[in-house]
Amino acid sequence: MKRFWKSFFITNRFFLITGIFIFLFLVAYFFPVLFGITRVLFLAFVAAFLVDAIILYRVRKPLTGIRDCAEKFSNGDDNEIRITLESSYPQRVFIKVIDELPVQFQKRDQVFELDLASGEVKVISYPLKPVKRGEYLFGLLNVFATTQLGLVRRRTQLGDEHAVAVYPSFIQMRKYELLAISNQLTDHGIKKIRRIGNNMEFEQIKNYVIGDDYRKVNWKATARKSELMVNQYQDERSQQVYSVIDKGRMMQMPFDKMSLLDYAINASLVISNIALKKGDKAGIITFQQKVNSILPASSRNIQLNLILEHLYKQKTAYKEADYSRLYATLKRKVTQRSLILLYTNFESLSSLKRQLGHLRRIRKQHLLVCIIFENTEVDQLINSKGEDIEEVYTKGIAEQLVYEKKLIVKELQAHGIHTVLTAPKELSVNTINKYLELKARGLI
Amino acid sequence: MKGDKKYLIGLIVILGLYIFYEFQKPKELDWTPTYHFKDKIPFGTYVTHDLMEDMFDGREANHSFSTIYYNETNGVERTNQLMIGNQILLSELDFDALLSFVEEGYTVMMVASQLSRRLTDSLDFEMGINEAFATANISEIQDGLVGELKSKVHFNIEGRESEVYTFPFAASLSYFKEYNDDNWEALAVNEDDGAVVLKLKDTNGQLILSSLPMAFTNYFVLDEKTSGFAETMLSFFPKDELLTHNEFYHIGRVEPTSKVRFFLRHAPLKWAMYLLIVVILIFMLFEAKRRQRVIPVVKPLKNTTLEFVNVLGRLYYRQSDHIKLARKRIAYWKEFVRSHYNLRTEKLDQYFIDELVRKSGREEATIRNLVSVALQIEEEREMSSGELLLLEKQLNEFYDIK
Repeated sequence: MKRFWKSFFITNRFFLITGIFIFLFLVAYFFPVLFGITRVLFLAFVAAFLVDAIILYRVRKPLTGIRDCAEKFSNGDDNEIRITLESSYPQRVFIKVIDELPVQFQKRDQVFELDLASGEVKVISYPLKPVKRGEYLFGLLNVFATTQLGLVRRRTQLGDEHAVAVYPSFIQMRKYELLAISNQLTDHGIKKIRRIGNNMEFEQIKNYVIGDDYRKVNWKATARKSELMVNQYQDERSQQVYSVIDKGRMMQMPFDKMSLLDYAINASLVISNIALKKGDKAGIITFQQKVNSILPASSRNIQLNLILEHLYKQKTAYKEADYSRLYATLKRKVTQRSLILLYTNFESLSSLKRQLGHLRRIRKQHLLVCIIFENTEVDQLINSKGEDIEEVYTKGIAEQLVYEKKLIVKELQAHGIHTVLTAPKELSVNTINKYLELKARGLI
Repeated sequence: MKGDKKYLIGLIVILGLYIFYEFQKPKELDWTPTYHFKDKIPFGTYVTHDLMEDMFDGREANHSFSTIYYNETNGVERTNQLMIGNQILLSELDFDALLSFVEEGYTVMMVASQLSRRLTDSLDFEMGINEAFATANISEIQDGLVGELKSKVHFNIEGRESEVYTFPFAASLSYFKEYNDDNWEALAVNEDDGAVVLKLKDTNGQLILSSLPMAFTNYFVLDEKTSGFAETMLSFFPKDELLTHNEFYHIGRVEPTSKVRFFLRHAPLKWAMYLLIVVILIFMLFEAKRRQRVIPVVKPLKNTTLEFVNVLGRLYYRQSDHIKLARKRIAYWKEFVRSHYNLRTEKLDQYFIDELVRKSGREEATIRNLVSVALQIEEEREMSSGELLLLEKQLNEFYDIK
């Protein structure tokens, strides 16, 4: 009985029709002729209601269905969910599906409407884009069925609750990895850097193309093939690439609902993967008011998995970042000259100046790249028209904010610190660019 | 659930306070003349009934809420009858039954400011409004209890001394304007010799009419100065016989006229109403049911940049240092030119203007204006708000913001 009560719902159509009947009865007061007819119609309506309920509840197990999705989701990317539904109702029914999504999505209206003939199987698929790492708990599938009459709605709850772990974006990782190997990165705005440094590790002889260093022409091979051939050298290998992630207050700011920290974590994963693929050693350091975790750089086969798990686990209280402790740790733990990709953010020149000393000291030993974020939120403000004097002031301040970011970059560059100023969305691409550029220039 | 508990407690406390307040606050007096034997309000007849008990050897008066005719045909025991009301209306059957009561030797007393037309026509008398009060203008009945307008009433019975009872205007609205001396005997009169109590002559029983129903209410019975009137009136009933107070004829009391009753009286409206109630119940029951699990509200992180910019903007606006803002904006513009068009901005000379025109594709006049403003800003100390707005316009033109 309790199960019946929990599954029994009434449609809006029912309320609409009873509303009409109430109206008809009121009219029947003025035109008594209508009273009899209305009463007959009303009884017919009640009968239809009962019939509808019987049709829906005649079948014991009316629907089967399942929610299909990957065990791990990739943060910040679209992950596909597939819902397969099969009807055992003897006739065509209209179905409304409410999927109980994990609380993190804050979505209470994941509703799909479709109709199913008897025995028909349909698949609903839709994307979900998580913006936070961690455990996500899916609930049941609530499937509401109505017949053609559409007065009663029967709910069937399908599937069961299950958890999905949202990991740093491994989808992006694979995407850029493949592109890096197949040299298609230019399609995504990844620049090809003319080789300036000269590494002596020989790789292969290849045809000359415009832009190659003509000092590297291999004359013997040219003579053999009667085409211009050049020697190609390999990039330096086994260099250390550390992704240092600031988990402090400044990284809490969300863009497109995802925090800067998660953008940084996604980018670290991508860059670590590419570094490993290129034969370098990748490692991770995270810090806020103190250094929280260090994953030493290595090029072992399992390193990528370790990095993934390491990044997945990262939690933060968004405390104020302490750069002196970061410096101390780097000094002690990272003894080999490394590429340090520091993901952080400065909103003003003065906040940078407080940390500049520490950054400069890090730079002495390592190749330091500071990755800071453009504030894309103010773009719209800057590109709007200031109608009155107050709006002009607001716009001026917004411009000032953007201008200050550029000053920060200048200041860092003035102290020999490489800088990437990027919109959060283009973080991965710009970081890869910088890495490839530095690699090519042989600066590490 | 934890959060809900807090609200529940709050709700209970508020409810408790409200109930306390309701008990605390002095009840407003109800001045409606109900003449009901249970009402202790001023114009109920609770005290009168107490008085009756005393007068009739502790026997309580009967109560009836149906017509005399109905009682008679349904074999209810015949007794003396007392009817009190602002207005007493009788049907023909009631009237006949009433007369038969009197014929058989019972006493019937009818006290009302206005009596049924049937009664006045066939028994040959007429009621009228006290002319002295005709001009009085009151909105509430209690206003008529005080003031100068008063009526002095005294009994006129042979062999009995009578006091003078003074009734205020509200209680003595009408009197018997005309009556046939052959049929009627005036038992009490007011100061103008207008009869207020009449008795039918030459009958087996007694038929006594009075135009002062208020005199029987708690208000006047409790007042020592006027309680004698009701007492004397009640003494007209034989002491050892049963008395019935018939409350059927209290117009406006027996059947409350509510809108719901109107609906219930007509079948289609009754259907409509019941259907509406049932549908509302169904709606509440079914629409309140959970369709999916509870998803607690989690506030997402908020990007506060815009808020920050707005606050800062307002702060600068308060200061209204226009030239300072203009310098900031020119600095941003120069940075824009440097990064977008790869031009040096130390010297804003003719070469700079030509190059910028060539590279940006904007009108030369636009750029020339902007450059001249930029130079001006560098030198000047002050700027008006009009000039700042003009600069905004020129910059928009350069950035091509529409």
